Amino acid sequence: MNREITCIICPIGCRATVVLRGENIVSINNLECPRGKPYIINEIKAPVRDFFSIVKIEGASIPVLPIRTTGPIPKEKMLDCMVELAKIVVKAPIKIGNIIVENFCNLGVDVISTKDLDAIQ
Amino acid sequence: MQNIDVAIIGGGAAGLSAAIEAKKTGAENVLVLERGEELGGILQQCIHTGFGLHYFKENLNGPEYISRFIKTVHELGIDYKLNTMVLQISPNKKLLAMNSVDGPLRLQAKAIVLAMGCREKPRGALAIPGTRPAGIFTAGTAQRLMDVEGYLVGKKIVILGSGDIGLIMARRFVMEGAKVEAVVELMPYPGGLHRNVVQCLEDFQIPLLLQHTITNIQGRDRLKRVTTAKVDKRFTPIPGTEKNIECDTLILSVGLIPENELSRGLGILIDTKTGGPFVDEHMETSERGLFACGNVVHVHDLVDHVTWSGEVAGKNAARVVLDTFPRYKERISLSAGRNVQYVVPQFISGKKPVNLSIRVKRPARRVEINIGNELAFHKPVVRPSEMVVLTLRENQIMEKTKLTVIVRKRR
Ligand SMILES: Cc1cc2nc3c(=O)[nH]c(=O)nc-3n(C[C@H](O)[C@H](O)[C@H](O)COP(=O)(O)OP(=O)(O)OC[C@H]3O[C@@H](n4cnc5c(N)ncnc54)[C@H](O)[C@@H]3O)c2cc1C
Ligand code: SF4
Repeated sequence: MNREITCIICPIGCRATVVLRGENIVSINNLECPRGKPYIINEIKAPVRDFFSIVKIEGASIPVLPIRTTGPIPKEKMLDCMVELAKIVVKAPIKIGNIIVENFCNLGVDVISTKDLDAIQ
Repeated sequence: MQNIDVAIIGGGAAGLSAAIEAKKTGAENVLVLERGEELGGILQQCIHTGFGLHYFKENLNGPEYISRFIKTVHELGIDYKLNTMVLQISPNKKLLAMNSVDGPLRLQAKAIVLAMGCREKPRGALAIPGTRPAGIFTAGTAQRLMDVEGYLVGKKIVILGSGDIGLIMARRFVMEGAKVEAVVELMPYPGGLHRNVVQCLEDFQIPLLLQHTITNIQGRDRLKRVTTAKVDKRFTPIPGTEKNIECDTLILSVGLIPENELSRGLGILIDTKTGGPFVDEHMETSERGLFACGNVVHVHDLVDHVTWSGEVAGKNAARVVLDTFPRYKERISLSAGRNVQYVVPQFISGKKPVNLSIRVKRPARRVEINIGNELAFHKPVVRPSEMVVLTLRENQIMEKTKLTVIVRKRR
């Protein structure tokens, strides 16, 4: 099987053609420099992405609180994580950096608040 | 009439860094005027990460990035007024502002920093035929509705324009359970950063229709469908290539324009290429003691550069107040030549190092950027979506009155 993957390490953005046999990488072509290869291998074996979204908040001036995880998570877990996140409701007041969920979905990262929100009456 | 040293119009990334730097440089009485309900500007609604990689060497989201500046504003005891709209500025640095507590506010400043940011081009600016149903939003409005106010704007979405805000919203829609049917882009290349094309579209298999446009909008109360068509080299829709896409929402991400009503009223010179005021290396406009920074000068793609430009403006505004502002007699104009949309600043003294922001017109590979006849900087690739920033040292400047910046294939 062939897969096309764009390298995002530098602005050139080479489009690598990867030949796969099952799980194994047979060859990676069209990269212009050696930095691209480890990135492409990682994109095939264990791609990760930053994770950020909003959660419901009660008692604040706005109904949602922006959050992020403390580190990237596996790409294929993103939508499952969104489903988990939808179950969470936090209460104001909350501060930037406050941990909302520890070890989120057993991924070894925490969900933290990215905004200060005071409690309002 | 209240007297102040430095008045700052707009409390976004640019305005806050200007205020902080003005105060640190020695201006006592600094006042930030912000029409919104909180400080921070547009960053408060940009919940994605990727901010501050250059300035803080950390990966923050918009609210986190700006919170650091808001904290410093409080620590330094800088005054600000929220819910306050600046209505008029006159060249003698009198300001008229308005809020519901003070009513009309008349201020006399010694120096002013314009930091009003930019706004989005609306549908009216595009002239797409069809009906006027509900369900059409600009990307920034959708971003605010979703990520600050908590409303999902639609379930089946088409995005017109592949600028960064549109790409980022495509990913947010999918994450929140909506379906993005397509991103439609007029040009043969995407408008946003490369990284965003990969992580916002390719990750979710969202089709990117390059060299396409929307030729019709249908629906009575709510949007029902849009018609896309391929365009030719002159951007005219090609008959026979029309396709209907069923959708309930159309998002417009077709570009930003600096917010310069106040600047125009004031009579300062506006560069038609950037849409913002002409500035020199101190971020001073054509009017003495009047500075500008951030997106009001030209649309930035990275907030880190916005912050830096705010620092330059704030520092020099304070120097005007303290009477230590360096005025150079020399003035070299920088102009945009081949494949260059614009260069900022447009004027430099040539007496000290300066960072130039260059926006190219078209993508190109293996180029050299010539500044005047002597100087060439090599770049492996340039794109309109990625501002090129170059440092020009005073000893590199050969021509004394005019420098033209061009981008061309390496010889
Ligand atoms: C919708 C949108 C989304 C964006 N998303 C991204 C992104 O994802 N990543 C990125 O790097 N950049 C993004 N940008 C660019 C971003 O705006 C800049 O990076 C940076 O935050 C701009 O800072 P600024 O201070 O120049 O402008 P702003 O943050 O827009 O601040 C200007 C402030 O001035 C105030 N103001 C304007 N006129 C008046 C007046 N007459 N009186 C009083 N106050 C006034 C406004 O209320 C606002 O708070 C986005 C821009 C927009 C418009
Ligand atoms: S392979 Fe090298 S040159 Fe190509 S995009 Fe990746 S880092 Fe850039």
